Amino acid sequence: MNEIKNQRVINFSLSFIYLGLVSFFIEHLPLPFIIMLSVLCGWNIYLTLKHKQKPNAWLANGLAVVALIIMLSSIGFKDTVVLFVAMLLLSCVFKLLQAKTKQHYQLIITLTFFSLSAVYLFSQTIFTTLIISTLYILNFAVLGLLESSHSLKLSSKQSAKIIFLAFPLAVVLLIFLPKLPAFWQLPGPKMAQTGLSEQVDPFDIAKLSNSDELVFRAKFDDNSVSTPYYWRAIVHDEFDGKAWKTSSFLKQAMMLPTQNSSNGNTTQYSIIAEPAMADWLYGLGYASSNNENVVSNSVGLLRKKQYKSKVLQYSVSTKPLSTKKLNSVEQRFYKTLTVSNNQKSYQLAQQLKNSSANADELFNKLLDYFSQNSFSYTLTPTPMRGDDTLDQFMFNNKRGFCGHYASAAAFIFRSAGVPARVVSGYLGGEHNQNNDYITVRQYDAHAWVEVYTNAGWRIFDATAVVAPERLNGSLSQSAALNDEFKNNINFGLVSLSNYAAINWLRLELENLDYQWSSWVLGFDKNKQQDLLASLFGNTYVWLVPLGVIIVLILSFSAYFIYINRPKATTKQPPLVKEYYQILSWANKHTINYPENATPIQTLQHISQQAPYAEQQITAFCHLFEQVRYARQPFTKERKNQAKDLIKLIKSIKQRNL
Amino acid sequence: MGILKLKRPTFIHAIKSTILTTLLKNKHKKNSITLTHNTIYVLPSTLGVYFTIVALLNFVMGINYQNNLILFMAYLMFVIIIFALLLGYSNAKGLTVSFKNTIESYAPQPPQLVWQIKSNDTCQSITLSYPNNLEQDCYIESVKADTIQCQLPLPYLKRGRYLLKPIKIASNYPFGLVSVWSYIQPDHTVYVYPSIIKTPNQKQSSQMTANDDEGAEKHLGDDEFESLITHLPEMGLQRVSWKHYAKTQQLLVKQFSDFKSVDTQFDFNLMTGDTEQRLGQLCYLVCQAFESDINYSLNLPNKSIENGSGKLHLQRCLQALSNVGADYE
Repeated sequence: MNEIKNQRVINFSLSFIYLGLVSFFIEHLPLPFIIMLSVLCGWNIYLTLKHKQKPNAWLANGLAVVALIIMLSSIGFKDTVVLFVAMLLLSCVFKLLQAKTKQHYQLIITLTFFSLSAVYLFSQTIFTTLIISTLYILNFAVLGLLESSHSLKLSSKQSAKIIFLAFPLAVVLLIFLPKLPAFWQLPGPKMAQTGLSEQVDPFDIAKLSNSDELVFRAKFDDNSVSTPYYWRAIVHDEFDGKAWKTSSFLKQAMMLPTQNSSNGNTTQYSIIAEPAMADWLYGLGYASSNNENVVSNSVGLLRKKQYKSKVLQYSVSTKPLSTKKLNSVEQRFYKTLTVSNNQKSYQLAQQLKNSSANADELFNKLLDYFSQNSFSYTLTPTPMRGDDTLDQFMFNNKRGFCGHYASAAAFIFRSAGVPARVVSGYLGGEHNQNNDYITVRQYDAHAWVEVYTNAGWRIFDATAVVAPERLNGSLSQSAALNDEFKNNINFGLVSLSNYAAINWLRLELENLDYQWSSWVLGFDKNKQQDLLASLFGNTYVWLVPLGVIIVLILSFSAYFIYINRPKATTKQPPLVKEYYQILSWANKHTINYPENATPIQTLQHISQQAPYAEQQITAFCHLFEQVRYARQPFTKERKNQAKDLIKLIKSIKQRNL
Repeated sequence: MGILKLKRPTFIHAIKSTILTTLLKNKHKKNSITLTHNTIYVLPSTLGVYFTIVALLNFVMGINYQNNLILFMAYLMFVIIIFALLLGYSNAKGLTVSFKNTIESYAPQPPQLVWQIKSNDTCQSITLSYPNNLEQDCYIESVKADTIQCQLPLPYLKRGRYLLKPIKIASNYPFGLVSVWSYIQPDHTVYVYPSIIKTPNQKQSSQMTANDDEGAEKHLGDDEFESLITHLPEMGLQRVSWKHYAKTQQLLVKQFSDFKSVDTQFDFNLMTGDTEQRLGQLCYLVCQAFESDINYSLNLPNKSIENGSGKLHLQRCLQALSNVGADYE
């Protein structure tokens, strides 16, 4: 019972599954660890292919210790989720390398069901789902192989069949079972971070690493919001001479919940944010949200309440920035400059201040300054070092991206005694016509300045005058920067968007992904309640659990009947069915025939007793002889002929009666 | 999640078997059983339990990360385990297991039970196993309407007489996630004959003949042709085999032997060594006697068997030998 019938195939398939699994973690686990896992899988495949013995316990245990050291040194203990996944993968791969008995393999396969699900913590795209589902079917097939000596193909077919049958029921459960709140809070995996960061320090970046990774999508209920869209995510209020940071004072201020004064004109829209490690969310202007998973704070920013490895959909109501008034303490806070470097920029600020009457005039003068002094926008700036990076940028290089302009402008405003802060987030987004939503990707990341003038907070974006096309739409749609942008971006469909067909394909895939995020990944408690209410009305919602139970019982009964259905008996040789039809016809008309005669003899006997059908029966006899004894092919014509003869025989009797 | 194989204390075994016998009543004490709803037992197997635990882990992970895909996988696994229970039950239903006969053996060979198995529908991965003997079982990949015969060795290696315990008919189909089982307990006793020990010399065996000191020498008679001997004058001419005379010109007489007159008695007390050795020797003698078709009787400490010959007689003697000393296990 313990010997395994298909050990090679099982070994091979499991190694394959783990290779597939490892490939999903390339981005999230350190490279040495990934290489080590791949080598172990490869080794296992090699041993299997070459019919070699698995390594003995000493060698394997020694290797396991080495692997454990590699794992701990490359991953560390900081990120518990990644560490947990790494340990799971490592233990399974090692167990597989040593597995000999059926119990070993059963253990590995069971754990694989867990490892496969763990991939969804990191990635939930349609592509991932397809691959992982295939691996699930394969894993089930391997489980089946442990019990039988079928081929992998047959076993896969069986496992695909049972999963296919179970699929609709699982969907019903997912849709209708009440969504439970999280039992306890688990740490989230720390995913590779791209795009925004806690501090704006553009000067040592030589090349802005752009990725076309999706950040969020926004859907407006009406068209009341006009471009440009400045999606605010982080406010940086403290300049340390090089970088703009978020001060601890502001961090504390952001802990305070916002006073929900619902006066003024607000705009409503909803945002579907992709899972990300950072806790910031996105909104326009002074945003607030009623979503239970979202915290709105006093600076008008949105934050996640806790980590969720899923898409978060929330609705936002936005008020214009200018509605928020600062008191004198706050005004002083936003004027603070603790450093005294970048003297040239400071002097420029003083000049501008002296020549303008108020903050608004200064605002315009600085914009003019940027537009008239041959500044240019680039994604590949020259790195700057030293204590006076702002001066280098303002007076020597004059080439930079949003971060440079925002840092410099905010510094100049503060030097001139105007409250200002750097804000980072995303600008614009790609508008999708079909579903009327906006897609914002990592390459739309942007930084700008908010200045407090007499009219309240205003957005100051020097990029607007340096590269005006950057303001409207996404970077991918901006023609002037297109080439530079495409050189910069990783290979992807976006970089091929010049070709109409590919662009069409890209937008269609985009659309599909939107539906996926919105309906599958974003299907939460609220959506469930809405759906149930729309299906059954509010009064009968309590019936839903009962309905689910009934559906389950009915489905299981149906399945039970299905598997117990009478199986089709083995296929009869040709004309046997027709022969029995004649016999039953003879029985019906009380024509006796000998029990133990050959079919031809029986037929002849019948035809003698029923002379009125003799002709037809003889014809049938001929047919029978031809097909069954003379090995003539049983063509469609012969089949039809037989059918017609039977019909004739039956009808003749009726006429005679 | 190691799959531990703990040795259960004997009293748990005792309790288990008591519960089993009370629960099962006498439903399974048949020589042939067709599995139906009241004789099939279905539970998740050990693997099935682990599978469910992993499904639960997935569920908890899905809930905590509010991840619909993980949640979906958890639900899928729950549905599949229930499907597996139904599939496993349907697989075993309609299976007919019939006891055919036993192949009895000489210690230390295990005796074997011969089974005939068939099924109306296809029935996959059937295992017949005897309690406390999981290593040696009888596995059948797939059973259809055609009868399949299989042999199940029993874990009885010592001489003796054994009552059959309930035999487990089990299947882990599909995927090994469920354990579907039933029992069959034919009303039959299995004998393990003593191991054959060749008697040291022929003389000793001849001493065992009670009636005649000349031992196993054939009694002259007229039942069976034995050999040709030279004609002696006192024999009379009527006994000459004239056919042979015609061929060889020699006067020869056909000698006949009569088996009825040979009444050999094998006696336990005349053997040497301890009980097992004596029984082994007797076993050898009995078998020899059967092969040369001699009438013999058997005298054992607590039993004696009348004169007789033939296969049935041999079996009776061997069973009596098996049964010496200990009665039932």
